[in-house]
Amino acid sequence: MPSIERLKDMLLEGTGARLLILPALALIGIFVVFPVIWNIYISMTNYALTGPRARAYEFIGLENYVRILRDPSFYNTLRVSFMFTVFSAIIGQAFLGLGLALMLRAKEPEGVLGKITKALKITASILVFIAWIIPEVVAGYAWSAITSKGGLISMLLGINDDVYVRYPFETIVVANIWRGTAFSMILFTAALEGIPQYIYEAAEIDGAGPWYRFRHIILPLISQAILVDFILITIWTYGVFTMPFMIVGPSGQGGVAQIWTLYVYYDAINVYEVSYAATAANIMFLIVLAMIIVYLRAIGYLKKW
Amino acid sequence: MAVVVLRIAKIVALWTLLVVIALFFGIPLVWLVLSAFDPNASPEFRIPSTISLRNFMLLAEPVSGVPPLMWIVNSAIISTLVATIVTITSILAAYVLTRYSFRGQGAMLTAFIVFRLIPPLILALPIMILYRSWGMMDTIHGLVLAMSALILPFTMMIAESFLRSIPVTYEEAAMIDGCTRLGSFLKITLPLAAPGIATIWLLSFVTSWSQFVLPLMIIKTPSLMPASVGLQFFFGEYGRVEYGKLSAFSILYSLPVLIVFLTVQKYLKRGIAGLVSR
Amino acid sequence: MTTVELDHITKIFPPKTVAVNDISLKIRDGEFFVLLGPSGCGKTTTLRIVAGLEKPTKGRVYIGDRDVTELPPRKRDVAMVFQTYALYPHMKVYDNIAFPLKVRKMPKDEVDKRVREIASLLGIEELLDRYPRQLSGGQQQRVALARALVRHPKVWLMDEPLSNLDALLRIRMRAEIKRIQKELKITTIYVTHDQVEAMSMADRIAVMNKGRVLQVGSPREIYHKPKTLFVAGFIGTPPMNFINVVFGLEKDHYVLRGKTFKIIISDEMGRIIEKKLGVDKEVVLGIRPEHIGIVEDRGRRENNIVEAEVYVVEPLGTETIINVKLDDTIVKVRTIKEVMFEPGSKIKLYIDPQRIYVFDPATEKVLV
Repeated sequence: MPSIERLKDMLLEGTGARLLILPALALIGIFVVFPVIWNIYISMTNYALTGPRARAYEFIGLENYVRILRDPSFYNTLRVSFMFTVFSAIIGQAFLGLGLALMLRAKEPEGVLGKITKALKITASILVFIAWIIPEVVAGYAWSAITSKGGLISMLLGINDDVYVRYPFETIVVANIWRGTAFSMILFTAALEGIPQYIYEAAEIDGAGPWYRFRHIILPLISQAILVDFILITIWTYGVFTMPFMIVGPSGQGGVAQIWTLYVYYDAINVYEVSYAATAANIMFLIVLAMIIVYLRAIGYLKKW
Repeated sequence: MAVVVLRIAKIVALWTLLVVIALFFGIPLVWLVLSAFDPNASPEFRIPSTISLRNFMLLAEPVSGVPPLMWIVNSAIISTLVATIVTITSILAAYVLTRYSFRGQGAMLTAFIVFRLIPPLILALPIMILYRSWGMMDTIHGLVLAMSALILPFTMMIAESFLRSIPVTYEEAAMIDGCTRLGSFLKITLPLAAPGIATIWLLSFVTSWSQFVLPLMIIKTPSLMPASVGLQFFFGEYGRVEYGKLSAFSILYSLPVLIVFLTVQKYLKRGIAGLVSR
Repeated sequence: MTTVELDHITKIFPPKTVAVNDISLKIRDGEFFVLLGPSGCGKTTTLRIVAGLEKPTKGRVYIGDRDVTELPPRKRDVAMVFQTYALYPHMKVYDNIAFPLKVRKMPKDEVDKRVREIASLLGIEELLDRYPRQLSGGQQQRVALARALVRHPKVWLMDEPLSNLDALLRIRMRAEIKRIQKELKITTIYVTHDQVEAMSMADRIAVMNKGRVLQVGSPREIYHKPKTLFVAGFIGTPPMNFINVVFGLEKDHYVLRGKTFKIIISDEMGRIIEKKLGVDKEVVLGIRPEHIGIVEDRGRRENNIVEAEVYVVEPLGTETIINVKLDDTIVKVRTIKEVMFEPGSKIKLYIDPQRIYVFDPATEKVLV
């Protein structure tokens, strides 16, 4: 029989101490891994939110998958999600973020002009940052308000109506650019700061113009950051739920702006078809997983540089 | 002469761009602040004719039977619990990951990257289904556990890199000086990691504070709701929105996040830069 | 009485890096024992096994007559000075030194007495209120020594403690560590890759390479009677010269033949080689740079004078190192005379056959 001393040693000195990882693994196992697996099971049943199918549901195999692949609304949400991600993440956040990072790095002239430039830079970057960190529901509320009838945006566009009803897709794209640009800005700023000053100076002495410097010196040096940024914001934008939910609602204004997260929520909560929603979620999860694998490959590849 | 003109043109162009950006990002925020102090707030963008704190005062009065301030208190309780659970479990796990080597360690780290990137909705849906059969729907502990698990992969990576940056030699020295292996970690490394631990606690606190999807799916009773979902009750029936009160509430609700990010700002940039060269 | 004994220690890091390969050592009570070898030879791992920071894959460790193989470091009563000193950054110098005593729950006034005692022994009384980051490298070093010695451990372990100091300080600390060790009569194991450090401090040295102990002995033995090519080449500044030659028998002499020279060796030496290897065999001739003479007047000796071409001359002040080309090998010659030779000029060297070593190139073991 092991003595108390031995047991104590085991926990304090080695073998046993490894068990300290268990709480974390248990949490992840029960509330992350198991739900993902459960979702697969649910998608093969006819589980519903209410009614008899909520209490006694049956296994129906791949029926939901067959059904969803014939469902035009599913293809609609696929298309909307894709467009939303491309416009909001790559075209919006990444480019705006890069542009901002470059602007923040621009040389400040001496004297008053420089002080003004600096003040403008700080103001702009703080606002971008705040937009990113405030709770998502608050951001969603603010955007739904200013795009409402009588709000500033509808005034500027000259329409006497809710902008998010008239242009739901455009509204959530712009709102999400507003929300997410800070990440790219910070990432690129860090990447630009990683370039030693002497490289800029050497290029300037060599007589390289601004565009040439950007194209042939800065761009190659931050290409890793660009790659990582593209992949990460694509994954995150693809999974966005809260702001669009607040602005256009789960139906996405009759499907026009119904990205897949709204589609899943709508199916599960508004029309009670939980297993059908789970089916959609699983298919979408496969797509995220593919993107994550690309990310892992990318950072693995970058490590070898 | 031409050079001076060109230089000035350059500066003006930069200014214009910066102003446009500041406007784009600032308008929703400024509207939020203005309307919070406007007793007759509407979507309209305007300087309030009278500036008052009335909207803030009204938050003590019930909306749908619950005073909105209670949602903020709920959020504080939930987030404190989540942050504490997450900090302790991720430090312990990171200790094992950085101080021991075992089979499957690399795979485990990779798995954590994957978990961190899963959209929350993918988990919220099955968790809701499971909670319905586990009797954990509409419970604070159910929400706290699920939220902790959701945030854990993120904080664990931070904890891991923090602990990795503290040399093991200190612990070895302490072991020779008479500590147990675990004791040397608690006495030496943990105090050294204190800034990192505080950062982890704060970041998990604000992440949980802002989380929306999980409470939306799990909590149905208004008096149990955190602020993120309690906020929906300001949207009345028939599209009537109480803008003034909602803006005031939004500002109160956003304040802790702003304060936290101000304090961890420096670390944040390092963390983001670390995503490229992990 | 504290001896340390390693009994057939092997350490394999998964998957299959053999860091320490079947080492057996007996360290005597009060001895200053140095583990010497190039980086990656397993000396630090060996030390860490003694400390209890690593568990040996095979073999036993004894401190005194106690088997400590399964014991954690804190139960072994050893102290260790790390290469990086590992001073706790968040504790003042006083608390750093007091830490090992406080952990053992020693009464406060006793702790205080001991800390001040050891601080005065090392001359760091004025530093007690500072934090480690406020100290210079040399001061940190002293604090690390103090922390290790404050609780009068049975065994004192040091892992390259001087390698982070500048050259002058290193020489001073060498003497100081040796002085303290002799004063406290504490059994000490010291790891270093610096053979000068080893030669100047050790009572005995174990030379290690590739996880094995090649030779154990006093500094004199290691210097004068190296058992292998590696040991011979590792000790001495500059290290021993090695020249490929053929061992043969000419008329009635045993000789070592190079391409351009010939050395006659004693019959006694020759017979031993002949017995071990046979004649007309390739061997390696080893001679230390300080045992090669420069011949100025040629009349005095006739045998064992070789002619070589000067390659580079390094004047070092107290001595001069002359690099010469003999056959295809660069041979270093050390002399205390202030001499100057033009590169490319010819020079005559006397090789004393009494001070040469002959190695078997296949086994790398010494023949004579």
